[in-house]
Amino acid sequence: MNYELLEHTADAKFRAYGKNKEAAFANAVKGMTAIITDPEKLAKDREFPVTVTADDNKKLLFDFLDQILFLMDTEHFVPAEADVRIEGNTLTAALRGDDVKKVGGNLKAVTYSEMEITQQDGQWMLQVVVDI
Amino acid sequence: MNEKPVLDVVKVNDFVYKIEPTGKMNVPVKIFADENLVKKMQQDSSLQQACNVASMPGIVGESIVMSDAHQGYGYCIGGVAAFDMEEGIISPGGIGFDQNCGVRLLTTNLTKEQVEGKKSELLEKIYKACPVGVGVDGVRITPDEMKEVMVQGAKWAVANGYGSKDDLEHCEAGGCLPEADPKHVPDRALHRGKRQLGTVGAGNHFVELQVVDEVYSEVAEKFGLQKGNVVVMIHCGSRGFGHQVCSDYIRMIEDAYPNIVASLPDKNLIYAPLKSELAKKFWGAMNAAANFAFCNRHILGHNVRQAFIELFPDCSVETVYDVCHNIAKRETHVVNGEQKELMVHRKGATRAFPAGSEDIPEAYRAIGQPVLIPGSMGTSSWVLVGEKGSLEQSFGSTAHGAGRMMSRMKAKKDFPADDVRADLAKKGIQIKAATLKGISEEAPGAYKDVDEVIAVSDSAGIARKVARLVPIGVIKG
Repeated sequence: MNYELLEHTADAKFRAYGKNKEAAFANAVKGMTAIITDPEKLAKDREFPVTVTADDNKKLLFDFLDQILFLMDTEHFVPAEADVRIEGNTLTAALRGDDVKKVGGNLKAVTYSEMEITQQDGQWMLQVVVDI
Repeated sequence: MNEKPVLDVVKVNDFVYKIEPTGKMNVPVKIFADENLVKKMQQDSSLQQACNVASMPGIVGESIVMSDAHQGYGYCIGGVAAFDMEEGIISPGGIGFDQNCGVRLLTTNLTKEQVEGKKSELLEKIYKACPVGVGVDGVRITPDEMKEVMVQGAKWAVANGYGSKDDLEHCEAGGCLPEADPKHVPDRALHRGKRQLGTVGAGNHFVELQVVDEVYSEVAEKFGLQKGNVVVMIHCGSRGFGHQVCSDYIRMIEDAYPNIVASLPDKNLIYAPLKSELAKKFWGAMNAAANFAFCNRHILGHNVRQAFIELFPDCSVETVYDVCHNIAKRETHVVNGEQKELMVHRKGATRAFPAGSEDIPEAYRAIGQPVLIPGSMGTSSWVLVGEKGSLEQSFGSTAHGAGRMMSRMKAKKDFPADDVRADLAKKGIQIKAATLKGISEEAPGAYKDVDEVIAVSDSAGIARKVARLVPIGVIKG
């Protein structure tokens, strides 16, 4: 499983998985998009690069997803997939996706509430609650 | 999931419950609820979240939970917390990502019967004039104009041809908070907001045509509410602008105060000490976002009025009031018999000042502040009036809505959009939505009963019933 959506009374929660940190962060992009639409059904003809730097994993995840919400409002872009590279404190990603106008649904903000990042038996798990 | 600790919730009277301080809590938690509502709150983390807030530095009086409360991120939604100006804090999460999310209510002199025949046409016009959903553009403004909006709030709109001074005089704070400081607003917030002024957004935000279904006191007339007449309720906030202010300041505070973060049970409770430079900067930015929201609702109100006038050239459309329900305000309250200036955080809570308060517009000073409470889609919304008990019990606050009780995921499964639309049609409610899933997610069955939420507020003496409004048309994202 790459990601799953979880129940949350007021907002939306997802988990993303990966065999390494890069793969888990890339799946988090799909997990967040899945809150508003099926990422597999989106076109991938728009591309945006993202670079964020932060001194721990949770901050990195927060900043990465926050930058995606920024692109959603400013470029009307919704990502379907991402290639992610992480070197030291810096994450570089190539996002490919579609026009958000085609899907609708709004994501307001990434939150730290219930955020979890775990690594066990070679499997990474990221959990995020998104304010919607 | 972590096991939920059992909280000792004690009944004070039929409408108030309490949790006495234990462990790190500095003050008790006070809960406005009846037996049924308090049971629902115990099913999620709302009350644990309120206990976490009770343990924050400088909190004064009680950590307050309103009758519509549900679990949020860090703080519960439907909470009030007041902090000492010396020892206390300010917290972006304690206000909410949608800073100055709020409600504006307009009255018309048209009856339901007059509007019914042209309802579809009217909804179509309003839908065009009030963009909903994502990826839609509002009023085009230059960076210089954006600065003016941040400082002037709804006053900017009036100066630029939207609405009237009379609208401004019927707004919380006159639609403009004076301590906004654009230089502390992050660039990313400006970019995110620059295409969004005059847009509704998605989620639970809406523009609704409603009818005054029942009036409960003579105050209704003073608010311009007449039984059988059509009114319009607008629910939205500061859009991406406010969300980005909140997100960016959470990160700035996190980097500046790693020790505070380490001490928190939930990182989303993050705060800056009120005396700090960062708190001052956030205060300037938050007020700028709040002004953006006031201006946003004002422009939407103007556009709604124009839509009415196109179809009913002789009608009059007046603003009743505009309230914030996600905000921090510097206010003076009586604590232990002494007047004290406090930083009052209302996250999903509405100010409910009684008659005589200087913070109420002159038109309502002898009556009390109008309190606007939107229900869920298809159910009633309410107008209340602030009562004296609010100053004694809840730092002048009451609830803000119905309060969700079901996740959007479950709602999508349980309430297919076509069924919801058909059910609403049976009740005479027409819906125009940007997406089908928006209809499912906001289905009335996903929310608590707003009438029950209001009854608690009324019985506890914090805000009294004035009028019940029922929808006849809904526009949403």
